[in-house]
Amino acid sequence: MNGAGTSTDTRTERLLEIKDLTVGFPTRDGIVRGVDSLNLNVGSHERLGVVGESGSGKTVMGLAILGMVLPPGRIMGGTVLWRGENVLDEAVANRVRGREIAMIFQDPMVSLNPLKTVGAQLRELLKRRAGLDGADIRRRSLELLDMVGIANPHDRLKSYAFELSGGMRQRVMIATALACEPTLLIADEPTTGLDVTIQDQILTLLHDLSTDLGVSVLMITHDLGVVAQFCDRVQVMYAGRIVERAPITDLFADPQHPYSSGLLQSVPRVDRAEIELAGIPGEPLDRANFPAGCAFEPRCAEAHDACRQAPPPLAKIAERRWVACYNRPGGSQT
Amino acid sequence: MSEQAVPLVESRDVSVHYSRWVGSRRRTVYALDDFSISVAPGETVGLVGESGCGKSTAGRALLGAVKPTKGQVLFEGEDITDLSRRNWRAMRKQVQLIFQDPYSALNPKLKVGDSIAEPFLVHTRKRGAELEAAVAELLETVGMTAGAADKYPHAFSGGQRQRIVIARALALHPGFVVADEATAALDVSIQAQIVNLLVELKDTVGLSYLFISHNLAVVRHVSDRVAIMYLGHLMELGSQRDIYENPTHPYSQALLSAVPVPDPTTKRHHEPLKGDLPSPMDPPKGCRFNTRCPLAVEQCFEERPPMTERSNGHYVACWVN
Amino acid sequence: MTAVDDGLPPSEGTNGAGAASGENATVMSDLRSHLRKSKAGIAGIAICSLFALVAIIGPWLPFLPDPSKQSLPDKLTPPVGWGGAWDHPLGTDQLGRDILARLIDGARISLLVSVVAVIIAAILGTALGLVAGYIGGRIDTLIISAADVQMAFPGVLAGLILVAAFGPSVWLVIIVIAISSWMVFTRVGRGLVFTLKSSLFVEASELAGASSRRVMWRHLLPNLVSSLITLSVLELAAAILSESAFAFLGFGVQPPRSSWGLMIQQGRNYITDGWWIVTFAGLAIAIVVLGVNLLSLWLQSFNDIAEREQIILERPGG
Repeated sequence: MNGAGTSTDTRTERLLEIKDLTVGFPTRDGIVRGVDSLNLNVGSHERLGVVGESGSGKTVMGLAILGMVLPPGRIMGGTVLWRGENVLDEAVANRVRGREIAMIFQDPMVSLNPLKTVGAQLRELLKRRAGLDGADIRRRSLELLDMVGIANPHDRLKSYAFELSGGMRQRVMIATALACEPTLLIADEPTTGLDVTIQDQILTLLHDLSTDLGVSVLMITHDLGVVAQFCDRVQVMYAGRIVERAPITDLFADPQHPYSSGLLQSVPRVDRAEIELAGIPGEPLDRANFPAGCAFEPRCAEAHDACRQAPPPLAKIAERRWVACYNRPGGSQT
Repeated sequence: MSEQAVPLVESRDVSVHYSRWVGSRRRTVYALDDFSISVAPGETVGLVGESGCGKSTAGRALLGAVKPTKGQVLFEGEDITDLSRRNWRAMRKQVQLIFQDPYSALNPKLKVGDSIAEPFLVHTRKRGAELEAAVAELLETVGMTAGAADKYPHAFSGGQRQRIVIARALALHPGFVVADEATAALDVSIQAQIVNLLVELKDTVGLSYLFISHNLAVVRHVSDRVAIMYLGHLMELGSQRDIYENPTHPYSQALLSAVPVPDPTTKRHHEPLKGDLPSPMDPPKGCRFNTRCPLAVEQCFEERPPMTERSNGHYVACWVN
Repeated sequence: MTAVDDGLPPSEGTNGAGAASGENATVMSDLRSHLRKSKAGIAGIAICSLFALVAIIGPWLPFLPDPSKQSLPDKLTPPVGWGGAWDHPLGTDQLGRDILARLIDGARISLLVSVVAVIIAAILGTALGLVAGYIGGRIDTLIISAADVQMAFPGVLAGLILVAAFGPSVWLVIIVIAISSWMVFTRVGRGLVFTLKSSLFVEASELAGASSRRVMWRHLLPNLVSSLITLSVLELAAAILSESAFAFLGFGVQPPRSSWGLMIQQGRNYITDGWWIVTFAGLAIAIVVLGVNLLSLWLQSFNDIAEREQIILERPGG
């Protein structure tokens, strides 16, 4: 299991395979593509990061994997294969969702039923999804709460969500996600809004659990620090498209896409004084006003004519390294 | 530090307690206790801490927007805790607040120009073309075009709105600005722009900041001195270098090591801090950090440690370290 | 502000200090595109426009006889289709007056009374709500207690007392309706102010040293307008019903002027010989009230959607 950090695509089993996924939202100004022709694979025992700013489509992508696109949005094309089966098929989705693929969100308060105790929610889940009954349910509930580091699990079973602190709620949320022993955990900004010391606890917990239980994690976040510390591999999204995909150390040491490098030069560091914050000029993309070419072109210092014609395809530039930019070696051909 | 001259703003043992109904019981919230800090002219003091640590209350107390239960706030040496209505209005020109959420900091029904013009309308006789020119100049100062004045806030992105909020705060040339989580709601690439703008304005306009944030990296980037708070108490105060390179309080150490560094080669080797933050309605006796402190000894549960100077300008409130 | 476009009278007294032309244009186009999708909205606007139009230009309609012209030989002529002729399409009443002409004349009274009453109630109620919500404290307690008392006090009884004191008149009805509905605006306005009061832009204005009056006028009121317009339209329906009820009881407009309530009151004695008098007057009330309610429902849904869209578009979450 410790091979996860250094494993390559070929050595691990391919769990999730997204091909050309496009999710559209109808608006006054026509259909806006929240996710545009997205390709992605998640292997077993892998911690893949998806990093992007608001409007990058990372959350939409996470939801679309489970076939959960909020109306009026809809999946306009592409496939999402889970071990070879199409999850966009409702029947497959119902079987896989919450069992083999589980999801945790930024605000656990939304996902936890405010009118039921933690115990009641776990009981229902274990009964319906895991098919347990009687004493097994209680034993498993306690086991799960203990696993996510909740002290006094007996007492906590009787608690309601509002009685718990933010960190505790996220732990409960993780417990419910792990109830059916999933193979893949999609974590959408699981620590955003938590205090630094609590974020640290939750990330450490997720890291340990994914290693111990062999669960792959798809970590959706805006925080480059979280990505750097948690993930093995990362893909950077901008305006619904993947602009770069690389093993974690490569991305941080040698970012290829101008957006990735701009992002890295925008983050102040707690371990270093007096660094220059380059920032990225311009504003985030107005989603109703997509350019025909590369979406990053209006903010890009290296843009030229070709960038304005069509979005650059994601191309392989080295082993396990992909980038969508016309200015990179190999980036111009498909 | 050499900021021993006349501080621009200074708080002396300021406490803010207020009562709140919890169910059917009235409880006292100990938001801030014996908070003493000073900001020198031209200086940026960073104030960091987790939620409920009282950093926002501290900022508002320094602005005179929250009345202290106890203690004094001095602005240019003058006590502002008990100002008359007229002096209070005059005071409002000198200090300003930049908010966390640029979305709700601007009235959606008011044109951007009208929002920025408000301080002039309240405090000066500038009207008509003169007023328009002043608004245009402010917009340009924060890197926007003068044409923005005629639009409504919804036409702008979060970063642009924060620029507008900054323009409004700068209208009357305040000497002291409290930036309360001013970049927290922004994306990283935009956050960098705003941070750079704030740093630049400090020199061009001549500002002093109290920079309140939970983001330790941003605070390091902008601050000359840094204060770390926990549950209404100041834990450590020192130069940026003191705090980040030689953190002394166990809480400062834990906080700094908890920040995920955006660099995979700097892997973290540490034990996360255990437990949750206690409620400010029921703070622990003695040192407020004692429930989570790995080094706590008996004295920590009995008596609040005073801030003592460890080296020049580096103060720590801890019995052990 | 929003309803003017549809030929409806401005039913709202509070003014949109912040709603300037630029934003209004987009709001208008949004309203139109939202309207195209709502059949109920179209029906509501159609009914309300027709009502307002007829009430305003009624007296100048060329083919209508004088509504108060009596003609005893023609009394109780049935409507067309039930043996009547086209010179009295909806028949005549017990004094031979043309029902259609009287309905149109009645629309004037209904419109006048309800709109003026709602405008008075909205201005008064909103102002009190703003003050109660923003200033708070003892003033709030005072205002809200007054609203509670008014809430508990039956409007008809108030009307009876005032009529006993001053004699029946249209203006009295307007005042009675206004004072029995101001507190709705106060309560809603106060509630909205409570939430708005904690927004950062209000804090910013206060920190800039702005006066309470300025905060209320420039920052709070413009943000109440859209909700209060919807509420006004809803109150309009209630006011139309109240006006009819008062007319029926004989408190309001006096013969020979006409009002729908009055027509029902006078027509009910002839219900066996001339069913059409009460029927058409009753139908007119029902249809107009329905139309106004549909309009208000649609305005409400538009506001909700506009709000939701704003949230989705402004705060893109990843």
